Amino acid sequence: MDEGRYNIPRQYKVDKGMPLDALFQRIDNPKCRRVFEAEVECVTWKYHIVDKAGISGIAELVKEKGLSVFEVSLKRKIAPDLLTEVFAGLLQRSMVLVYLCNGELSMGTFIPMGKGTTGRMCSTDFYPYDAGRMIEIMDYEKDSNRNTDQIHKRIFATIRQQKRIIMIEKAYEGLSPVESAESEILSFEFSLENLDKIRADADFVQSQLRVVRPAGTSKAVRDTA
Amino acid sequence: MGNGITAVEAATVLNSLKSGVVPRVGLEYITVGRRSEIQALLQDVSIIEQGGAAFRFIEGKYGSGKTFLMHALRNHVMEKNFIVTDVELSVDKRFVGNKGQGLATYRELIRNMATRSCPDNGALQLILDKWIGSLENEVVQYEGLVPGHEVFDVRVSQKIYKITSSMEERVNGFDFGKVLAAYYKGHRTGDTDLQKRALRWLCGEYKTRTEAKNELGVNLIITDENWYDFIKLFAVFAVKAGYAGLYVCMDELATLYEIPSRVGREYNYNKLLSIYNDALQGKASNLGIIISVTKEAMDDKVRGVFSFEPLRSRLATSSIEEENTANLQDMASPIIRLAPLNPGEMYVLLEKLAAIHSTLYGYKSTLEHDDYIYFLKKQYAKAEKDEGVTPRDMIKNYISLLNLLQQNQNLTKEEILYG
Repeated sequence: MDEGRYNIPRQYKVDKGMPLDALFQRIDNPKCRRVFEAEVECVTWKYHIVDKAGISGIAELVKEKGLSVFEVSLKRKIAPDLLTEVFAGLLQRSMVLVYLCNGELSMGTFIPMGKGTTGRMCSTDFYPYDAGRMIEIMDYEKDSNRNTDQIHKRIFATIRQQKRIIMIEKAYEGLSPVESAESEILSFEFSLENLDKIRADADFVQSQLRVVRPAGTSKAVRDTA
Repeated sequence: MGNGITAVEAATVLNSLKSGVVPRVGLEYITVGRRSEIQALLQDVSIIEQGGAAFRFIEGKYGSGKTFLMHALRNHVMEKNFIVTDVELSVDKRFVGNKGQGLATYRELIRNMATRSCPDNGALQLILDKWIGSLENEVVQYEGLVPGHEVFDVRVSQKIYKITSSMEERVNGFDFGKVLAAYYKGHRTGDTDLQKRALRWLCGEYKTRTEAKNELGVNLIITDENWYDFIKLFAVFAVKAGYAGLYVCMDELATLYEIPSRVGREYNYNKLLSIYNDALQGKASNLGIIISVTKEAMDDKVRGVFSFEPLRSRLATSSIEEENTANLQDMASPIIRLAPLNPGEMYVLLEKLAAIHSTLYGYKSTLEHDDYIYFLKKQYAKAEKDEGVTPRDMIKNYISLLNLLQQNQNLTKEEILYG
């Protein structure tokens, strides 16, 4: 792996963040302006990963096409899908967005697909910091021979997967808690053994309810679409 | 289709369930659980085929599957060569009433008669024509006579009158046989008016005896008081016409529970008692009657069936059954109590519906074990919060989910189910 591609955090971190004012000037859409004004506390351009090796300064780095990682601190939680759409419309570049709010984080990403198309976007819901669920933006092992496009696709897939997992977890959290006795009954009910027995019973009943007609009395040709 | 269901049946099943009504066809493909209940009802069918009679109440909450079970049985016995008929009891269709509600029930039953070859109701004329046709065939086959031969009509007439006169010994059988004979006479002579008049009489549409006397020469008409006798006669006739018997399904007995006047309710329960007694005392033959009722409409001691002591004493659960702690149910008792489908059974039902949906619309269902469980847990949680959520609602919601999954294949199932 070319170490030079991954040395941005150490050498080229945009320490002071991108000034919100600079971004704010570029927002035409009033809805986006409102979101920025009211909800965004700070946007930091954390990393910029490029394929070109041997970049000597930040000015050269940020001009180079690559994958940008932004950290967005929010005053209160708003839909990550909406935020990602706002940033995608604003910056129109390959990027990963990390949203932070009240000790929780959410991740979004945008892959531009060329002019005139919206590109691909995906973002997770907010979830508490959890080392087990952190998405590696730079995975040295996996990405050693990949270019930034491939790395971005890998991140996109991981975020999409994470989104599903978080969605399911949150959906279960929304259900009222099940008492242990009830939970025991349900785990029996949904056990594969019990389900197999019910399926067998249903097949038996189906066979009982079906009537085999004597030859020559069958229904007209059935539609077997 | 892979699971044996036809496209038409699959569409009917899904559309009906989505609309909260029980489909008329394809029920065997989605029947889950109810093994012992169905076994008991099939045992009844076997008794009816052998010349007996059966009477059952199907008791359960709204949306618990009473109508489903009745229709499943209806379809089964129809395939077994029964004449089937059904009625949904309502304000204007009861067992008896001062505005002809009993007769209205009878008319509906006759109108809804269906057979294997005419499954969509209105089979009465076809039954009569088939009966005459089969007797004519017998004369051709076994006596070597052909239509047009001078003795042919005589031989068919003899067979017809042999059957109609065999019914004379039954209550009101004389007039019933006479009308059947009139129908045959119309058939033989090409007098379609006479046939229509006979059909009108059988449908209970004559309002006065005089009218019936003038038009058909019979002194009797079908009324609120005697309509059930004619149902029994139809059951006997069904066998003589080559069918296995008559199977009657009555839905929504709860209608009687809602009759405001005590006297009106008691008249109806009294009629119900006589139907029950007839079936179980051997006065009826080749007749099956199945009636759906809610638990409340059965057990309520003020307005329900149990408010009528003669019925309560016959139908009440035996003390042995009541005292057993394992919740065992005597399936030979006249009331089959439907317990709600348990979560495992609901799970298998969801699986079956997903399979039918995906084969009908030609896509691969992405739902998995955990998805079914989540859906059911969510529905049960809702049902716990709001007692109005019944299995019927759960199934409606589920079919909506299947439709959304199929119609929005650009979205993931997680976004639709969990989002």
